[in-house]
Amino acid sequence: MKRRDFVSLFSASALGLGLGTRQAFAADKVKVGVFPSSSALPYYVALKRGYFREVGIETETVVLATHPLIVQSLVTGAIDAATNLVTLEGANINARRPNTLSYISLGGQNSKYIVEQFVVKASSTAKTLADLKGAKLFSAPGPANIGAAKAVLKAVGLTENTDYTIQEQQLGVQLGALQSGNFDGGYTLEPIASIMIRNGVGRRLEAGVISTHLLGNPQAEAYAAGCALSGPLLKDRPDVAKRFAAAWSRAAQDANTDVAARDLLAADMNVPADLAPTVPLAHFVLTKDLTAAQLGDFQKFLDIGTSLGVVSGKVDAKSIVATL
Amino acid sequence: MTLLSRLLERTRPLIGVAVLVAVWALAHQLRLADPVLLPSPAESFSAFWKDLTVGTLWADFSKTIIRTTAAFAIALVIAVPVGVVLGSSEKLYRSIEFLIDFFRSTPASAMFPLFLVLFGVGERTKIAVAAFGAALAILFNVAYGVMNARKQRQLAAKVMGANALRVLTDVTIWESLPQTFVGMRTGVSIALVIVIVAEMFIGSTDGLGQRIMNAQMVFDMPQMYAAIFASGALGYALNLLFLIAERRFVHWGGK
Repeated sequence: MKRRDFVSLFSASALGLGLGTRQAFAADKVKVGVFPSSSALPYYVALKRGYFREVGIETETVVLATHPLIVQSLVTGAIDAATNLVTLEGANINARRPNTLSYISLGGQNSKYIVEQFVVKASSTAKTLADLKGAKLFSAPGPANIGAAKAVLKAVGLTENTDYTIQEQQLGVQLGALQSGNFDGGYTLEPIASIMIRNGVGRRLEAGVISTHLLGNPQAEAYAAGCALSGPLLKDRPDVAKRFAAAWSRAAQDANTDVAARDLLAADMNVPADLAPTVPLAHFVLTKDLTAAQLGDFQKFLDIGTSLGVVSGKVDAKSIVATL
Repeated sequence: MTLLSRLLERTRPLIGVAVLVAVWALAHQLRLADPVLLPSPAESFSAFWKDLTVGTLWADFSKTIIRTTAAFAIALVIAVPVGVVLGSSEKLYRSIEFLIDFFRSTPASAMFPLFLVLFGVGERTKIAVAAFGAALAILFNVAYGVMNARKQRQLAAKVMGANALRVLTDVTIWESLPQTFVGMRTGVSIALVIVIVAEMFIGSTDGLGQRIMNAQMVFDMPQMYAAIFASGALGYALNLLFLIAERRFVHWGGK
């Protein structure tokens, strides 16, 4: 063999080996839309603890400030997954455009796993929601939130504009709005409520109000947000979707049980560092593990969304969950 | 002029609209964007008509009109006299020119936190921030109108024995009116834009801005476009109103 042939053969072999090696270890890319709040915790656990890497998935984090933007990105194919998309918005887009997404995990909330709640000024004498008669209230923004707030107040016997007034306020201005005396209380979400309480501005009046007053069972979990995979990801790359779900499953378990995982709340999810160890979190449940009762609670929650006009038509809970 | 050319002349302003609707319909037909995100013009116009006649669009429409009118009226009452005073003394105007230009260049949305502190979260903030934005545009134009009033006419009045106040009220202010109307047209557009943005972001349960946001949140795109049409139509109507008023009352403008 001539020297030149030997070099060519060696180079080709090396290149082939290199390519082969690269192909064997090339991670599958998944673009993930993240709404930066505490319910995105499992994503950052999977990312930081290398669970995605271990299953051969490389994620690209796309931080999106609103849920409509996340839905739009899923529709246009700009992202393949969403870490914590509001389920009523997910159901709504599936009602309008079937198979846009499916949930692989949900975040349950009630009086134990606190997310949504009514707060009042620290000095308020109100002890129950019925005591909000005559109050000027704010609500977390968006049709789903204000619709839920009004439905809960209706369930305790209060009529809007007769017994109370309510106005949407961005989460960022709620503390100031309560402190300045513009409102007597309102319907808010974590970690805003914990920040109000820590600063001595507000007091928690009742948490888990959706379960208690709308689902009719304080122990039931309201599945208000969850991790969703896009229809094209599930259909065209089922193996990638399955591995993504496996990594998510480990991370959700950590988020539920491992206190150390909370360190990531302050680092990546806009939770103040001093609140991270104690701020309430949703209960992360994999959709493949949902019991019939839990699925029934989810269906009830979606039906409430339909009655509020947030979901454009009746949606079967089973049709928007994947069992990977 | 033939009948055809007369008809063409009358319909000329609609050519741009027709082109826009045709491009939109074509984009929808070719599925350039997902139909959920980009409904057809027919679906959107139908939603507009339905929302206006049997829906709640008119209620939101009127709330936005009331807020815009209130903001504009406040801006007018403050900015016109201040603009006249500032325009009468160029030295005085130059001393605060930086402030006027600085705040004119600051996006209104960046001023929301300050106005929330000053006026709380109710109706007053939306009107106040819109009035602030509109007032700057009116003030700037009134001041320049007064400063650029034709010296020839002012001198003529002086020669005829008019005192300074008489020159101001009988000549300078009338001379500045064409520029004042430019400021008013700009001001009312700014007031409308700020009111709609405020309705979107600083706590509102009604108004076109809040309607656009809510429709987008539930992906009811025909309804979202219906609210956008309503905003555009309102802006166009206000502009037209001031143009007509300008032609009627300051017919000497530019002559």
